[in-house]
Amino acid sequence: MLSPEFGHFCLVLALVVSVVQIILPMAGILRDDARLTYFAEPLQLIASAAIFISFASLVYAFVVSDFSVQLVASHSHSLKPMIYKVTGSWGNHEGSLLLWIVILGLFGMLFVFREATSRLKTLTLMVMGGITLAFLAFSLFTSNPFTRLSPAPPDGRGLNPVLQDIGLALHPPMLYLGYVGLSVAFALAIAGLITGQVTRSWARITRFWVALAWSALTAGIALGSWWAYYELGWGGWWFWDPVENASLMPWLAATALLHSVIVVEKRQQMVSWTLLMAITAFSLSLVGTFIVRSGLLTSVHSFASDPARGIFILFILLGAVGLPLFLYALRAGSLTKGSDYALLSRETGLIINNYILVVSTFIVLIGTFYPLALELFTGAKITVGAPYFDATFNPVMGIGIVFMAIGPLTVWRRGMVGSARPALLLSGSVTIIAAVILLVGSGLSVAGIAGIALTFWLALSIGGDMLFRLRPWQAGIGARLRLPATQWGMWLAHFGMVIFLTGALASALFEQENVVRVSKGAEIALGHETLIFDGVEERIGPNYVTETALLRLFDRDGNLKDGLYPEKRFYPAERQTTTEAAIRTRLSGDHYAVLGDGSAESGYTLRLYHKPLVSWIWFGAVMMAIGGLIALYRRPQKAQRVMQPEQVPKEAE
Amino acid sequence: MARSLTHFLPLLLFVCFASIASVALIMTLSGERKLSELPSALIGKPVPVTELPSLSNPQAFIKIEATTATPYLVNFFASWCAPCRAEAPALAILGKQIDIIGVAYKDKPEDSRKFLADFGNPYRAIGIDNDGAAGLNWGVYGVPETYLISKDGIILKRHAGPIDGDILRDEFLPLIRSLQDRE
Amino acid sequence: MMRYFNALILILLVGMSLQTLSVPAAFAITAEEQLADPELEARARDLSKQLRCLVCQNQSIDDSDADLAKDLRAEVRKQLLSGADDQTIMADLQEKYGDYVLLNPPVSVATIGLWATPILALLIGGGLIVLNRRRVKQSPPQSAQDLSENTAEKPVSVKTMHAGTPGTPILAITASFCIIAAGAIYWFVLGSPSLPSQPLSQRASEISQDASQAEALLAEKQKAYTAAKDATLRAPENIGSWLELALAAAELGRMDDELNALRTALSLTGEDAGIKSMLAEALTRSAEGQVIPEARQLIAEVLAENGREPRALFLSGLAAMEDGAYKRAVDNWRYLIEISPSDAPWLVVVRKNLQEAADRAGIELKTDSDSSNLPVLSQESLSAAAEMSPEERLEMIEGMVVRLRERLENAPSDSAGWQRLARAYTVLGQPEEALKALVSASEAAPGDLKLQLAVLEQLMLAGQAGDRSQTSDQALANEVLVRALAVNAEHPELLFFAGHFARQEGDKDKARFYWVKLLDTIPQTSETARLLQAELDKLAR
Repeated sequence: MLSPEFGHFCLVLALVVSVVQIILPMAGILRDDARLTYFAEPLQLIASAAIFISFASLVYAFVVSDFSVQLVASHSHSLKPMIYKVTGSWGNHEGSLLLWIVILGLFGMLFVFREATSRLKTLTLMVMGGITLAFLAFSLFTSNPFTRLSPAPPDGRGLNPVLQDIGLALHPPMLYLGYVGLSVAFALAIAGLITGQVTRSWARITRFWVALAWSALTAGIALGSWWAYYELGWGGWWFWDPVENASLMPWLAATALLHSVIVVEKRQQMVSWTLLMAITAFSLSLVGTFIVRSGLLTSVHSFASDPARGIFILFILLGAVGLPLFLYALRAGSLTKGSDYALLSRETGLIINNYILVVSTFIVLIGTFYPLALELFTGAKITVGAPYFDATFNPVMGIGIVFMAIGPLTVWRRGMVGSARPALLLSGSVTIIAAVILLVGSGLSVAGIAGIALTFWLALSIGGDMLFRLRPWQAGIGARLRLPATQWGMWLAHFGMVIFLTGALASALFEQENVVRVSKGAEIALGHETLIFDGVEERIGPNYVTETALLRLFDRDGNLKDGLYPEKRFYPAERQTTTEAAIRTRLSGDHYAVLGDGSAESGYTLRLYHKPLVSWIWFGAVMMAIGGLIALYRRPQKAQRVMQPEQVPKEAE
Repeated sequence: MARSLTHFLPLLLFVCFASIASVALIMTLSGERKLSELPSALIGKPVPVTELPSLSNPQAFIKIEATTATPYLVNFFASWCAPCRAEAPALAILGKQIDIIGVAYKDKPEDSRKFLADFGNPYRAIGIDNDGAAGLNWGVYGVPETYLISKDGIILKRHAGPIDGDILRDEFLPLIRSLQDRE
Repeated sequence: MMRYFNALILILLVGMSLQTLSVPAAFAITAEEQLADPELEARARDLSKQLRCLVCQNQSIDDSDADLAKDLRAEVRKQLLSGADDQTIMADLQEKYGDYVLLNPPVSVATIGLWATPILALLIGGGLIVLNRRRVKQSPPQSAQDLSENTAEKPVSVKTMHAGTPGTPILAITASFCIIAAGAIYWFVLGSPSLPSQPLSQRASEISQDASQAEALLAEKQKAYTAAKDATLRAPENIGSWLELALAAAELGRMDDELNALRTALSLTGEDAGIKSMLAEALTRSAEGQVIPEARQLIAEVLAENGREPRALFLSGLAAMEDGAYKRAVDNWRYLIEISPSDAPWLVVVRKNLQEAADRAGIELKTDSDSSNLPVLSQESLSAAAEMSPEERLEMIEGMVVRLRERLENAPSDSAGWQRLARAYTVLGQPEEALKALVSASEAAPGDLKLQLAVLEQLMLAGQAGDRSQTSDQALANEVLVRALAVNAEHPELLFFAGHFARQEGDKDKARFYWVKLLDTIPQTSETARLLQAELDKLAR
């Protein structure tokens, strides 16, 4: 049943279905014929099902090691552990592209099930059919995962130990959920531009899909950064690498969209801007795909790239971004309305939020592509590395955080919530005192102190807001706890930002590092702690041998805390050596040990770190993602009001 | 009106981006843009004066100087580098037209000698750059690298990677010929 | 160049071992690199974080374990120790490696856009927001009426709004049929409908068969190699066994062994063109398809002697391609095709290369009708025919011998020529002819002691084999001995032979004379001395 050929057939079938999925509903809308528009939904479901079967066939081919499929032969091996056989199906260009399409199909299906039938839905499904079509064509005509080999080779060639890693296997699907999820908002925006009706219900629908995609994207980026942290072996977690930037840009744009769509929902303001952000966010994820797969920019983590595929993606990019932006240019004018809010208002806060996020997206974009442009125009090659982004992105984000503390305390149209004044007073005074103390009493850099102060400012204002709004010291807390889910989600996500900043700052400012060459029995100081090196032991793994360093970690009082066992693995079959860092993760910080070259006679090189609070970086990201998901929850009774014009909401708080 | 024009701004930005990306992609595809190749910072500048122990006579030194009688090439090579073997025929041809000074980069002298015995010795003189210090001064980032230097000691051209037939014919030979004609 | 190299492989179908690249384990700075002074070290680390590892994807030299990164780290520290300040060091490295080495691009004309954009974006964005506010202040707030109008859905046509209106069944059926038909047609074009799925578990027997076949093949090759090696050890003078060894080594991808064997074979035959071109080809393969100078030299020599040698012609074309002399390559390969028999196995490959060269040279090839009708040989038959059979090889040597002999009879004083002839006869298994040639060689060069000794050795071996007339050999031996003793009467080896042949003749005293003399020249305690003493004792009895 799940033969590769059936999978191939289903993929082709999905391609044909998506063509029809565009044509029939379009004819239906043009002729105003409901019998034709009716087909949009079943066709999407058929396309999704065909795609799922196709992907299942591919996974099945990997599971049973069907080496008559070229992709399996070149990326799998009969001796691979089963989990990596399965994940290997998307650990390559062709398979990951199919996964992209699967997620498109998934979102299409969910969209059909969740939303009520309307003209907007039909149009959105049409646009999604177009995206699916483009990627199916890309897959089938340039990167076909079902190319066969006859005769089949006796075994595969994909036993690369570096690629056998659970973090590497899991973060792409998560990231794709984010990238592709943004396509729904994109399709909704185009449908909105076509109908010219960007209403409250449009915003409500869009907000759901944006929040979903945003949460997945946040989690995906966090997973990728965590993978780099433990796998690349030098303890960094963000490198401002083009591929990382490619995921950060859509995240920033999606964050802006997530906020501006609220303004559309509540106040019918920023309508055309929100449409633009929806188009931009998905466009940037296409740009990211383009970067990774075209080989245009070099990166530490990318697939074997092929410029010929780049041409195809470029055409997709031109169609999928150029046309909507042209449509936007024509139609956006009619969607713009005058504004009616005071300077101090929720609207202004969200405008500043979008302004900061868009500027920072732009900085990442410029920093990533400027070297390429310069090389084309002048032939000069320059490098834009972390120091550039530290100097530009970080300060802009700093400004953003200043406002991030204030914005949530404002109300729509005019003024601030009752808890604003005490909350801001509290956080402002504490922040200033803390900053002054640090400036005088610590040897930290001004940038470091600014970072700490901003984190304080944000944390205290969120805490103050919660405190003064919930007033746990007064009776009747139960009623006050019954806030909308969006409020709780927002608090959680914003507090996730605080946690993230704490981790990033603490691990950067208070890191301890020691690089030594030591012999057995040596004591190594690391901050207040001590490690004792008990030599190196040879161990034998399933398909590798290791040199494992034996380290014992003692706290400042000389109590044994734990053992650390960094490895250097040698895979004889592949003649590859890899290092495996030993990481002892605790809430208070990570101990990170890497074993380098050496021998019993000359001693071994060891690199040891203590990174305080570093895991908070990813906890923070997870909190943000969960916050986004909580905000999706909606009380059921509100759902009935979709078609009725709403009253201008007056937030009760 | 001005307001509606601003709505074209995103499209305009995208068109700029897309055209740069297209041109870059086409150039990469046609091989005109080489991702791995870096321009040398030293082009148009005087050679870094280099003095290295000679391979043929470890007591003597060879000196790469600011001015010489004729233009010449400086070629960084090593016995451990596979592409260096690949460019041996091209260097043999070049060696008949112009002086080549070899720099054995991070190589054991005996290995260098064996390499020359196996693949031919097109060099007029060879210096030993044991620790790669000379390479660092020249901005070398991998062997083989070949520099063309005018008789006034100005670096005119740098080629990183092996010289193959095409590069020899299209880049080096015409440049060398024009230099020699000028004399 | 790989294309032509592949062609070469096809002609000769000799396996090549692939080098496995080892991926270095990620490990950046080491303890040795660090400076003792913590303050300098901190500065070094700081600088390292701002310098790009030029050969890496996107890493600072602090993070990278590439050799170049290591060198740059050392350079930074060297300069720090010499007292340079941070800016000087950065400027120095910038001068050597360009702006590319700086992770933080310096502000310059080229990077003005890079640095100005963030500031401009902040200012313009801020400006737009402020402008927007101004406009808001001027325009009065919209009435609730306007707002509610905006939020309302426009009435949409009733038909469309009817949720779930079913499509017409006929349309649905037609559409499904068309979709499935179109999908099936496309799939027939793109897919491989005839290939069933082949899970590994169902292919156990096939794979074990394949594996055992491959194993057997390898064992066979290994066996052939060992046998050839043994043969060369047993008969180091036999050219045939060296050639055999070269082929066997090539099959196993033992490049060095192959080259050695060919070189030995070449030195045995002297100047044989066939072996020279084989050596040239092996050299080309060992240099990964580049025709290296030594190979070029050999090709030139071969073609000077025999302008029709196919292998040399092919390689010569390859060399021309490499130099960009496409026209010459075309001429070479065209000529090769012309002189090759119409069923020559290399024709397909040469034609392909010729086309390539012609394309590059911009020459239009005339396609003659018969060439297009030629059956395209399968790879298997090509490879089978590519190797010369032993008979063919023998034939080649025989032809060589006849030519050589004719020449030598006209110029008998060419000692080296006679020696070569002798070796050739050895290969052909004609020891008598070989011996005769060797004697002629020694006659031609009476002063060459080594040569005389070689003749004596052959004579002695022949005598021991006992298949030759003793008397004629004895006469020959005496003749040679006279010549040799005239050169050096003290040479130990010669003294041994003199004694040997004297004893064979029955002249015990003469034999004793030479051997006692020999005993004086060698150390008393040596094994040879002991053996010689034993022989002398036998003589005395």
